[in-house]
Order: sequence, then C-alpha cells, then structure tokens
Amino acid sequence: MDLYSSIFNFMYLFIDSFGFLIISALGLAIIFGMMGIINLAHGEYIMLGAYITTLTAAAGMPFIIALLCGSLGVGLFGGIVDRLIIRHLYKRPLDSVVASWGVSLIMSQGMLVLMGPSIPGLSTPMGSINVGQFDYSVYRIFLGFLAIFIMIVLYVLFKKTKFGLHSRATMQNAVIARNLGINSDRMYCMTYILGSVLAGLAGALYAPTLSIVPTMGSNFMMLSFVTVVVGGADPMTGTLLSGGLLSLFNGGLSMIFGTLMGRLGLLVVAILFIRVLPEGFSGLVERQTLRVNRKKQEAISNGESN
Amino acid sequence: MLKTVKLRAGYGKVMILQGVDFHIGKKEIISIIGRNGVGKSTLMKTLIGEVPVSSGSIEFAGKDCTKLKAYERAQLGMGYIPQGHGVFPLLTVEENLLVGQCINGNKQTTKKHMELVYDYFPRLKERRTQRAGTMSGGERAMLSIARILIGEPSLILFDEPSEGVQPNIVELIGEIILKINADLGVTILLVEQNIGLVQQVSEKAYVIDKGLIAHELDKAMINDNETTKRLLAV
Repeated sequence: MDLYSSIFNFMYLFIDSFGFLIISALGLAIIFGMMGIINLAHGEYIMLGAYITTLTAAAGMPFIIALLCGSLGVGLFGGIVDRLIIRHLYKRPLDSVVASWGVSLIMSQGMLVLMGPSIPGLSTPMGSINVGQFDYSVYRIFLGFLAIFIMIVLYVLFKKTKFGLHSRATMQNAVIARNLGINSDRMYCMTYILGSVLAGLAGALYAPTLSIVPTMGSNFMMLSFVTVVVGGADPMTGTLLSGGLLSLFNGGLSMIFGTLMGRLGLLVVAILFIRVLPEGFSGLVERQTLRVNRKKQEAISNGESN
Repeated sequence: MLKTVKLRAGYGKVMILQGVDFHIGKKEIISIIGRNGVGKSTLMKTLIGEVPVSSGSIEFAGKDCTKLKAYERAQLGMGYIPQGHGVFPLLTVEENLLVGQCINGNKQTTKKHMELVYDYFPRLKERRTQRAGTMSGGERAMLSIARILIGEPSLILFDEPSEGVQPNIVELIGEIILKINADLGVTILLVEQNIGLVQQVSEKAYVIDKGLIAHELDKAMINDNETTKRLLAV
C-alpha cells in the first residue's frame, strides 16, 4: 500500500467513524444536554427510523422521501411518548432512565412480533470508488460530510433562532426561564421531539448500510453513549469535539490493527478522557471561555482605572 | 393591580404563608419586610407561581390568576427578579435581555426597549456580547432588572436586589427603582432586608411575621428607625 492510498484509507475510516458517531449521538446529546434526560430508547428510535425508511422505500418511494418519513415518523412517535410518559418525569431523571428503558424493550420486542426477525434491506446508494487496493463506499463519505452539515443546521437553530435562545435559557435554568414567560414544558416537549427526529434521521441514513433487525439499535446505542459522555452537557461543541477525538483514535487504530482494536481503542480513550475530565469536552470549553472572557474584562477595567 | 385574599401556600404539608391579605395599587412602590424565615421569599414565589397556592386567591390586573402557571402570569405582565439575580451565565448580556421579551407577550417593540434599557444601563451596552457569568454582582443585578424591563411589565416583583451587591450599587438600584416607577409607571413590590433601600424607595411597607401580614407602615413609620428596629429585631 503506498502512502497516498494509506492516507486515503485513514481519512476514509476517520470520516466514516466521525459521521457515524455524530449522526447517531446528536439526538441523544440534545435530549440529555437540554433536558438532563437519558433516553435509553435512543437506539430503538434509530431502529424505528431505519424500519420506516426501509419499508417506505421498499413500497416504491424514492429514498429521499423514505428518509423524511423515517425521521418525521420517529419524531411523531417521540412526541407521543413524551406526552404519555416522559412529560411526567421531567424532574425525575433517574425514573426517566427506567421508563425509557421500558420503552426500548417494548419497541424492540414489538418490532420482532410485528415484522419478524429481519426484513430485506436496501442497497447502498451512490456506488463506490476504488483507491489503491480497496473499494470505498461513496455514501459513507457523504454521510461524514452530511454530519458536518447537520451540525451547522443545528448550530444556526440554537444560536440564531428564538426557539434556540429559549431552549438554551431553559437548559441553563428552567425556573428562571418560565418566570420570564417561557413555557418550559413546551420547550422540553419540542426538544424531545427534535432529539427523536435526529434519532430517526440516524436510522434512516444508516438503513441502507446495515441489516434491518429489531436489535439493530444496540449498535448505535453504545457508541452514541460514549460520544455523549465524552462530549459532556453541551450538545453542539461537546458532540463535535468528542466525535472528532474518538474517530481519530478509532480510524487510526482500525487502519493499523483492524476494526476490533479500533473499537477497543475508542473505549479506552473514552475511559481515560472521562477520568481526566469528568465533565467532558463541554465542561472544558465552558471553563476556558469564561476564563478568557474574565481576563478580557479585567484588562478592560484595568485600562479604565489607569 | 395585585391583590391576595387569605393566601395560604407552602411546600408539601408545611404552610409558610398562613393567610396573607394585601393589595398594591397601580404605580405604587411597596416593600415587604420582616425577619429571616418568615415567608417573604415564599410570598414572592407564590405570587409568580413557583410555590402552589393551597387556598385563597391572587388577583392580578383584574384577573384571577391563582391557578395560572408561572409563565402565564409572566405573560400577563408580571416581572419577577429572583434572589441572586438569576441571570443565565452562559448566555451573552444581549441574549439574556432577549429572553425577557416573552413577558407581557410583547414581541414587536423589542428594539425600542433595547435602546431604552441601554439608555438606563450604558454599562450593559458595553458588555452586550459578553457572557453574563463573567460579570460582577452589581452588573448582574443591573442585567436582571434590564431583562425584565425589555418585556414591558406592569408589575415588578423584586426579591432582595441588594443581595451580593456593594453598598453604592444598592443605592443606584434604589435610584433605578424610583426612575422606572416614575418614567414607566411600573408598580413595584420589593422584598428587602436592607432597610436603607426600603427607606429610599417605598411609600408603604408591610411587615410580615409568621406567615401573616402583621403591620402596615406608612412613609413616616418606615423612615422612623426606632419603629423598624423594633419590628425587625430578633
């Protein structure tokens, strides 16, 4: 393998892993970061998204429509779960863990009863390119870039819109936010639906690359959890940085020692990282920005007093 | 403007307020004073809707809002400034202000009000892109007041604005309270330990004790240090 193709190989593994971690973790990260609720049914939401997408596409719809059906369908489902169950547990994060675990069991077993042990999958779109001795899936490279695009859309949503401002205010202090006239329950509900839509989107996007079985959610669950834990409370910067760091190790180790070591390395890095920085990347970033701001302010007031 | 009738409220089975009756007229500035732990802050939290009412009623701007949620009361024009100022530390000064526009359901006139509060608090304009978490106690107090003003409230509930703020800023807060009352016709209810601030601004004060309104003081009585000392001494 020459240098060029091994660099490409590493880049491919990195982008593939980055896309997977980011896309599968975002829904979980937003629900956790904004609401403090750990959605153990996240993997099953992804599974549901994959099923809806696959079935819609198999019924003859174009893939892009199937994709929309998958994400919005899971959003709708999440909205119903929120109104029926999660809404009663907004202030009880531990109970919400148990409840969402129950939801996940019902969903995976329900899907098994409903659709059987597996359904025929879709073929991966976009074909492949050949570099050196390997073929690479164009679709997976595309997903890596799509992950960045989704992050940008979410960044704009949270930083530039009124919904974003209100949800960030609610995240920081729900009591103050509602005393200022924000309907915090509605913010939570909408945030939960947004998280569900993103989970559905993850399932929809990865549906053509995986076998569609009722237990497929667990593939996503573990890695998205690790990403969120390393990322910390801020769903945007946290997920981005943690996805980047973990993919760097995952990609590098996968290239040299194979997939298993890549996966193991990712977990070891995550454990070490959390040992050193228990609040994850966002805790680190938050402290740094406040420190820089404070220094800037001190500089200003020193300037004034002189 | 605001009226409570036999208001009883508290946490779980413990009733902190034991039947509070009081009223504030339009454009009045009224203080609630009392010793520690007699229910002053609980009264404020009950008025905005954070502590549930168990019996009695709250009437605000001619509407019974005993059963309304906190955000609904805020949207009617009730601006609550909590103890410790309650700014959002990771939002910038400007973002903090923008959150305040939900009060009174007012969405159109934000720009005008933004200029108004920057006029009142030029310091906040200098700092508008800075995160609120990096500011001093006094600046946070200013921000918490400005944030309420953006929403054009008809009533402001102040819960100990002097807390964690240096004395010269407390006096400044007093001036601002008088100014917004005079300029904008906002009614103000103030809970305060700092008797200097109470004397500076209030026309009338209620002394709260054991969850009840024990005394009503007029301006002369508030300014009489002997009276206030007697009522507040432990």
